[in-house]
Amino acid sequence: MIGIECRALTKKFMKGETTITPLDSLDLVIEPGSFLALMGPSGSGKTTLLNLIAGIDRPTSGELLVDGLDIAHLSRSRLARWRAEKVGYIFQLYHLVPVLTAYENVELPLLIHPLSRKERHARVQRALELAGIADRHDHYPRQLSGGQEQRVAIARAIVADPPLLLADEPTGDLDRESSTAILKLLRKLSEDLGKTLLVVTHDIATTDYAQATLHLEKGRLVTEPGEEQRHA
Amino acid sequence: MRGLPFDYATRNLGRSPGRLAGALVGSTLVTLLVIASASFIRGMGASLDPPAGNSNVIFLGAGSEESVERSEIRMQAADVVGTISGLRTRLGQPFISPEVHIGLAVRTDPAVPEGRLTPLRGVRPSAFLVHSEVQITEGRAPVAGANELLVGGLVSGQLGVPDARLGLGEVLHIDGREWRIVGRMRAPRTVIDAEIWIPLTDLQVIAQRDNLSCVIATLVPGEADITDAEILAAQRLDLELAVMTESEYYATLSRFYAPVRAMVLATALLVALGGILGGLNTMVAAFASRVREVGTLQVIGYPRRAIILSFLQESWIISSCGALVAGALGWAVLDGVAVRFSMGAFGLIVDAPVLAIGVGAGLGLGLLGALPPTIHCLRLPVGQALKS
Amino acid sequence: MRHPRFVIPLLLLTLIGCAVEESPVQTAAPDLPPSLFLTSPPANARSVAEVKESAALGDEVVIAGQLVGNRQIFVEGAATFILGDHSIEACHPEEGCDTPWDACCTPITERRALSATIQVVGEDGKPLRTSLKGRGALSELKQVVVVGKVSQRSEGVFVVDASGIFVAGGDS
Ligand SMILES: Nc1ncnc2c1ncn2[C@@H]1O[C@H](COP(=O)(O)OP(=O)(O)O)[C@@H](O)[C@H]1O
Ligand SMILES: [Mg+2]
Repeated sequence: MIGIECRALTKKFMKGETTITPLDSLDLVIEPGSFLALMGPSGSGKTTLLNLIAGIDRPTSGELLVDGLDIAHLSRSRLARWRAEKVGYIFQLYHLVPVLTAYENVELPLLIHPLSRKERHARVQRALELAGIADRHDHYPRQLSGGQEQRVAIARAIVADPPLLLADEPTGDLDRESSTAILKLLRKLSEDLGKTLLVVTHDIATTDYAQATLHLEKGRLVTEPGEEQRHA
Repeated sequence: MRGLPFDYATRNLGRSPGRLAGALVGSTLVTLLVIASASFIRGMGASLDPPAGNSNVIFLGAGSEESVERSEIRMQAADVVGTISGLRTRLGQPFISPEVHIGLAVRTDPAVPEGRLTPLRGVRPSAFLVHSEVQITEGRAPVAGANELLVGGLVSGQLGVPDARLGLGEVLHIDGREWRIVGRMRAPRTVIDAEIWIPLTDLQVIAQRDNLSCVIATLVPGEADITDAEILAAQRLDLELAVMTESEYYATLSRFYAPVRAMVLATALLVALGGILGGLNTMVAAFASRVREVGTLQVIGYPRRAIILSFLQESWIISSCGALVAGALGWAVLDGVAVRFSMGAFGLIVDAPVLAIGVGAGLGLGLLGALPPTIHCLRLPVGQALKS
Repeated sequence: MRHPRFVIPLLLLTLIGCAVEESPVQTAAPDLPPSLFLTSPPANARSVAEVKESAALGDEVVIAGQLVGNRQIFVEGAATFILGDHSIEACHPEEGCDTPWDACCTPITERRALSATIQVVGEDGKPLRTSLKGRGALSELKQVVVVGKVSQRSEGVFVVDASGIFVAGGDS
């Protein structure tokens, strides 16, 4: 299980003359094994925060400890290796590799690790079964529905057994029924496997499944959602 | 650290059949072009290389050292050359070949008003002693006064007719008369291969000249050398001779044609460059459409090295297919093809070094061409790549 | 990234290289007679044209001429050179000619008629196997006077075996 600590975490982007600050001195502690929903209006910095925690981007200032490790100061290749071990990332638009089958997509993260073919097969099979998509293992992404694609993507995120799962609007492109199934799946991953889960969402239903909900507005955490969001 | 599966590279090829076809054709053409120009340069170079171990000296008219066709020396020169001691002999016959070299219009069809300028060489039988590289492959040497010809292996290419058209018994038209082919010869990788040989006196009659273009003699190494020949040329002021070794003569020719080689090279490079740029463009487009995927792979934990490797694999598959096709094509189609050149011809040579250069260039360009678009594709920060 | 453009021409160029064979091994260059080069001009010199006209085979002659009239004045491996008459006009250096001594503006037959072959022979009567170029300040375009004996003489051929050579303006 993995915990996360942010202290005065700040991210700035320079866009020509203007500076955008999607994360402004954010303080946040995520307990190991917790399942948190992260809500907030569009442009409030949710994806930015997720990317910092995943080591995809680096903070401008502040402190970021993931599992006690100051990932901001790892080299690019060390970060890649760290991600391969510790982080599963789930995207809104699944981002499956179109030329690979469901099975092969799920196998991708395992190819980074020194595993036997047999071991890989067992793991991929287990991940596909956990995600409830084992019957479609030889399908290509274009042959799957959105919900099925997201299941494959989740299988891919968990196959290497990372302790931390980050999901960026995983149900954003799905219908109600599929969304509910995906959310149940995520909760199961949290409860049964003890994964630390941070799920960015616009979907208020997500909060029913998460242990707690964080609200982000203009780069800062707020205790209560603001006006615009309550009516969203 | 393991990399992306090879399947990923191969299946990516199928993503856009149009692009794949374009890249394949492009890399084939670039390789073929490199092979063609290398075989041209090699063929031309080989034809201007004297046969190895050659100890021939060539007497030309002083002042015409660069061109045997322009050279004129007196008939008497042949006898004077015979006074050099240390000439090779066989059965008492010295290796001295008085020759006339001239380019004349040769017609395969008398109805056609204009023939093709073809190098003719008027020879005596001693020419076959001096030019030991010449082999009569069919028939016999021509006999003087009988309107007979001996035809080299590249002449058909030179005249633009099928080789069978120059078989024994066939007729060519020179100077308004019919000449019968009585022999075929080969002297691969020499200028002679593109020549028609004709008895010396017959050619002198056609050309209305009573002099020679050159006298070629074979020395016995250790008994005579070029200095003996030079002394003779300096003493016989009346004959107005210049002399050089056959090797020197060919080196002079070779220097003369250096600009042609440079041009061929430059053209090939320019077209190849165009090919690379075109290929680069295809690759940029192919890779740019995968920016988000590359971002995803990095999020999964693949280092950039692995991604670059996979993309290079992809390009390498294309370029090696292209190189293979081009290599086979070049070898099957280009090797030995006669290239009309100035008034002679030479055969393209597609041999191991030429193939190695062509295929190597094709592969190298494939790899190098894929590098910039790959790097371009990876330059975007992962976060941004995911959004695109 | 710039490699392909250079690598290929280099590879191709290696194929073009042409091997020029060296002439057979020469024995050590023999010495010229010590008295060959004269320090003062011999008396009674006559022009190449005059001598060619009047001298007979075996005559002792004194010929004045210039090293002009041929592209290759000196035989490279032997003590032989071609001497031209003063009347042969060398090309002017300002015409941009690399070999002004070849007098290429005059027809070769004319030049040859006004030239003689000079050689320094050994005991066997053959030219010594060493070039005269650069020896005793001999070089193209130089004015020289040669003392020697006519050893060959026939229509157009005129060979003098030299016993003395004076090079005008020569000091070495
Ligand atoms: N790479 C970037 N360069 C410049 N601005 C960026 C970049 N990534 C995000 N932003 C800006 O940061 C702000 C927050 O973006 P983001 O974290 O994606 O918001 P969201 O909460 O919708 O996920 C937005 O204003 C966005 O335009
Ligand atoms: Mg977002």
